[in-house]
Amino acid sequence: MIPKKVLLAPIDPVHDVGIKMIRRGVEEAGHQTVLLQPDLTPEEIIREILKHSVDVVLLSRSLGYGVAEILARFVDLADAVGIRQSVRLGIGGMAIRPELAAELGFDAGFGPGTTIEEALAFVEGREYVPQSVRQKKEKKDIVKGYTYKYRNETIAGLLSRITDNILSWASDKTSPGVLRAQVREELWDVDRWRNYEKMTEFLEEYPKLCGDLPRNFYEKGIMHPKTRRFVREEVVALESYIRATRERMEVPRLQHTLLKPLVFNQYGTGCPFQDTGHIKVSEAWGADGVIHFDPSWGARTEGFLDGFLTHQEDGTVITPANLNRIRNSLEPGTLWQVRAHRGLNTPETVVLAGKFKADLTKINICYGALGAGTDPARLTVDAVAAIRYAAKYGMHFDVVTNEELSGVPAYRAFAGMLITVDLALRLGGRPILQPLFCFSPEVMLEGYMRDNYVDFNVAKIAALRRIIDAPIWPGAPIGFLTHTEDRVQSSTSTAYHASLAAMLGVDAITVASSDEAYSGGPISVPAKVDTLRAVAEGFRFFGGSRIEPSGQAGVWSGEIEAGIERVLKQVVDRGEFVDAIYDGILGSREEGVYPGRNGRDTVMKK
Amino acid sequence: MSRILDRVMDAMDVETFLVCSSEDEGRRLMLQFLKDIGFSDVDIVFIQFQGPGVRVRARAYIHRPGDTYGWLKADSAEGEDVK
Amino acid sequence: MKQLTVGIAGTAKNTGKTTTTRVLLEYFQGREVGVGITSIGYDGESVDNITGLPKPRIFLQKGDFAAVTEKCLEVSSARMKIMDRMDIHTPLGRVVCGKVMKEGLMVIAGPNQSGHLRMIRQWMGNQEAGLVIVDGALNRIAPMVETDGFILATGAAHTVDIDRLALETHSIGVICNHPEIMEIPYPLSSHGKTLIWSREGDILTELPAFLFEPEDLAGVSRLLDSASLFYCPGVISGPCLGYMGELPFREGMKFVFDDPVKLLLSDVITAHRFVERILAIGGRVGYLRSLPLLAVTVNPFYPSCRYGTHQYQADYIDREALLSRVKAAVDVPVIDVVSGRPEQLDVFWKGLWHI
Repeated sequence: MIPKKVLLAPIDPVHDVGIKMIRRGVEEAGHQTVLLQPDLTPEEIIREILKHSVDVVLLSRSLGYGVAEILARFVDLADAVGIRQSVRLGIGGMAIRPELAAELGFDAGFGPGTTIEEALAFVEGREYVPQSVRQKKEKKDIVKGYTYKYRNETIAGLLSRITDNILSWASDKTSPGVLRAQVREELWDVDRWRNYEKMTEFLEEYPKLCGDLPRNFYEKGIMHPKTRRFVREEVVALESYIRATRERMEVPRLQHTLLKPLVFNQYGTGCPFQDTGHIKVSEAWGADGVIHFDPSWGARTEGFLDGFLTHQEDGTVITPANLNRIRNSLEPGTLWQVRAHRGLNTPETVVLAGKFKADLTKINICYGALGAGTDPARLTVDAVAAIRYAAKYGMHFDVVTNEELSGVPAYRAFAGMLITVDLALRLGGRPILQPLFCFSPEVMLEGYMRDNYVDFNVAKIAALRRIIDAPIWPGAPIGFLTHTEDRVQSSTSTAYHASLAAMLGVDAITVASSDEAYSGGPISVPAKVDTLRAVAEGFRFFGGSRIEPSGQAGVWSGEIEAGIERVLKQVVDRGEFVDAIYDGILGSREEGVYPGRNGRDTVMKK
Repeated sequence: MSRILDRVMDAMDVETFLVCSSEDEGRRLMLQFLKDIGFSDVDIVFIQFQGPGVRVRARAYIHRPGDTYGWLKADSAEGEDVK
Repeated sequence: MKQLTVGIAGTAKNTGKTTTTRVLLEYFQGREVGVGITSIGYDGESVDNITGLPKPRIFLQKGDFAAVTEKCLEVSSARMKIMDRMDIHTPLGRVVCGKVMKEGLMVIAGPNQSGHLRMIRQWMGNQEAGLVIVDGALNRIAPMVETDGFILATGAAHTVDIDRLALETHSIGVICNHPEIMEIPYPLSSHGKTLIWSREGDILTELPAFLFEPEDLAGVSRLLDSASLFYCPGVISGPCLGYMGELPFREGMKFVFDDPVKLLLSDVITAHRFVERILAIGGRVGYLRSLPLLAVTVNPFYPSCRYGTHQYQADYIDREALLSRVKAAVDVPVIDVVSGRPEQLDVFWKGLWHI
């Protein structure tokens, strides 16, 4: 490369930083530069060009009415003094587009977002080959690199005994949920379904295993009162919306210089169409993954409905068509989680998610049995089956400790989480720890966050890391119970929690929208944008820097670890794991949780 | 106007600062305002009163989940089985 | 019939260059004269690049020739058979030349510097185009040196002051059409320098080609008695012209510039005064190459910026007053292209073929 002499001139009254950055890039590439003072006239700049015999001129100027004429006059002067053919002229600034550069008579125009590389290519007379305009996002494997080795041998031993107990207890038991999952797994084929082939065998067996609502649907065609089917015109319109949006879309990264955490966003407006709208916005504003939220009645209902259905309340109904449509609307790099964790359809949800190639699911026996109303025995049987399917379909799953929100102390909730984690590892699954970053009742009562939100959250992560080498995905959403209806406060809180998560080097986070604390209506899409932008700003602000937790974090993390060990000992001492849940060892009535009653007495001998 | 509102994905928020003497007054004024400009499905998302008045964010839902969305330009008709 | 290349130059954006181009195209498209078109700007966009207000687009008929960038073809409804790809690169891609095969609207952006326009002109010269129109850009005038003459599009978008418009147009008319064609001593060895010769043909002094400030002319005042020929190959600024115009040169002093564009690029009113002044003292002003002003089109439209916003709206000055004042200021046809009558064009074109 022959070094060039480059003259840079800001025609505005002040230097803009863009021209200085380009100057630095051009110099670093080995070229010589001359930076003129701002606000010279076209004649003065021409004189400098002649004086320095430069090869390339880069002007910068913001555009207003009348400015174009000044720039055009500059080019005319260059032409008339005979340097136009030997000196390459570039113009940069806001609102500069190629059309305008052409009109002004320049060789190139550089608008906002111009990269140094682009300017350099112009200086060196090379053709600029932009990196793919559509930023490619590759799906990242959250569990990659983790050994799942226990670092706390005592806890490892206790967990192993509990897992032995669960597996032997469940070995001769089944449930309608397990049987439905089996029917779905064996008699329902996703390709035949896509071809509109009637699956007679499935339709004979499946309704028999369902509760009233789905059975009435299959046998009598009665819809759930708050659902309706989409019409074909709506579907055609959705398809064209997705297609058009995809073509215009880029998928930015939020993490700035870091590689993690991945950022997940929940959807579940009730309507798969609205969800699709929300998902495309989440993706376009940088979310790495999206999480399917189903309605709460779905967890209490034995069996799934069928068809492409919309629902008027929170949560999007799980049906094959709904999952299929949502799946097809995702960008190729977007991770997709379908939650299964808490209800009567846990194993079947995993099967359906697996058949529609979801990347992740969510299973936790203790939370489902204590915080979400499902009978402990039933959920234990169902979870064992669900974990087996998750392992079969290669879906990793998080184990969330949402019972913290009901008042269960973190250490106790973590004990429950680790039980599901150990069970999963035994069954060949790849679990992800999901402690909450939240302002929980425990925290409020004990005053753990009287001064700051940092120490106790740091303590939680540190405790878990001392126990096992496993991926961590704080949830869900981070900052739970710190949010208010004020979108600025809400987004800020999420951004700080996200930044803390990033500093702790966790693998993923789930973020709320700024509507998190608003209960008067569905979450709106601008509220999702608010939070994603705030998180991006948090990552930008802190980058790879660290904040220092106080010494209290270390004390609390020791207490959490000791508490977990204590609880696991009590579970082992109780004998049966399921009884331990009924007895409140993993979360008690005094703390605010109750063993669930949905699906009670539905566990059957095989 | 209505055709532009069709493009609102779900809800439209109006936020401002109203000079008033109480949160209740601010709430009432804001809701009245949204109704005056033609919205019916309205609510206050956030309101905070201090001496000078209220910082308020009100919301009008244009498309609730399950509606027919203007931005998809769909006609309504009876449902059929689609995958 | 010889081929004519006519430029359309404006005094500013929105003075009606593209409207003028379109009107001329339409006039000729019905008249069995092959036409070629190119632009040194980016004309034919449906909305103006800066103000956001609508602009006309160019309609090309089958058989018309055009030199446009590759990107223009992508967005045009007219279909062109590409005959040559020129080695001319612009921000909108490479310039291609060809013949329209299917009529339609065309976005016209072509070469944006004189050297490149020369290449296009040469290409057009080999085609059966009796008239080649070079649409201008903004207030750009320099590339017009490659045309046989130009039409000036002026109007309220340049200034809403009608007196000033008339005065400037008069000045441009004088600068372009009054001085004569001259030669300078051969062999010309100016090497990009401004030179002053003595009556004996000796070079008295060398100055920069680009005369920017009166200080650049230091020493000239000492040569007044001996100087007989001044030649500037580049651009001379208004202050320099003003300074020289005041110097008491001897009768018969000749000032030679490459072409009228070099004076048009300075302040036109000062340049005009300079020409008048030199003639008044019995001197002469000339060019190596001519660039006649062929006609003037006027446009009362201007975009006015709404107070406090960045939105522009269409506004107009008095159409009749503008037309009559400018007509009185120049001795070439003055046409209102927006509301003017076609017979005005007949008169204009009949005169045109005689240049």
